[in-house]
Amino acid sequence: MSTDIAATTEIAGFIGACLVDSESGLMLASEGGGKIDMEAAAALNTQVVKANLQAIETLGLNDGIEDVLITMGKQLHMIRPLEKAPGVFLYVALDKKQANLGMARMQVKKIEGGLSL
Amino acid sequence: MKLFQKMGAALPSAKKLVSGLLDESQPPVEEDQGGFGPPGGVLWTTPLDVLSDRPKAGLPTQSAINAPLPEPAPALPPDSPDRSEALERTGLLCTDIEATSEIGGFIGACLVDSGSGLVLAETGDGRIDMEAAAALNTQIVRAEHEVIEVLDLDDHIEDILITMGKQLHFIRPLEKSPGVFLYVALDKKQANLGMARMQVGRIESTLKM
Repeated sequence: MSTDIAATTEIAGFIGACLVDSESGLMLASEGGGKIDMEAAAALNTQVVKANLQAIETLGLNDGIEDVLITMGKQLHMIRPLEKAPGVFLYVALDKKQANLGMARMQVKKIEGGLSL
Repeated sequence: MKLFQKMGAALPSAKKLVSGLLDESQPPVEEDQGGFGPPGGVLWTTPLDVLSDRPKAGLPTQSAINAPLPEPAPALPPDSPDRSEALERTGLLCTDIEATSEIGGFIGACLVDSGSGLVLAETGDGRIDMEAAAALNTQIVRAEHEVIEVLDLDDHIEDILITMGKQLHFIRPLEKSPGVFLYVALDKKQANLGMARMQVGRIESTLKM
């Protein structure tokens, strides 16, 4: 079992990250955060994940979420369910000015691959 | 009384303006009454010569006070096709999302009112039930709005990209009307994420509500 998400702090533009159980919305691990309340972020992003899962199920897409990238005016948020444990997701918030979407996506994927529950 | 007659006389021309917007055979009248209404003059406007009849200083005359309010321009039912056609001609509305079908891996797209979750325009091969997709994606957009609001991020959604095993979904609120979003579903094998994102952004910028 590994819930070490410290490597997310190396992603350019890093603000905060957490590992979340999407069943309960509770946080399993967190890094950084600054002004963002990571516990609230975990619960709120669980809602986003659930809405996504409901869309996939209702539309009969027979598919799973690989990742969800949310681009805002000032920030980039990434949600990535663990491949080995889809009920858990890694959430990373980045500063848009300093971040590189392509690079960040690859890094998050690599970190997610190292996690196990 | 003279003032009242002038106000009455201004009405037929206001009505003519409105009917000009609706009638295909008649070109839109580009008459400006010098008022503060929107271009095209759908709202009743005050001709300048009426204003000049007023006493230079002091209160308005008794006849001006007693004059009934001008009859408002007849409102069209919101679902009238004539109305949206008229709006499209005046450039106030554009819901043409056909260009999304040129994006590599295209499956389907729709324009959605995130207030109601209803479809405003749709295109695609029918593989995805767009009515259901609109309602379901509205849930995702609302959940994301809640994230921004509760975390006090003071920000807005530019886009949401959902990568799945076999498909890519894009959600992009219109910059000019954030209450409406464009939703595009693509086949992941044929799609290029970077290219698709740029194309979706370009199509979104042409839409007007």
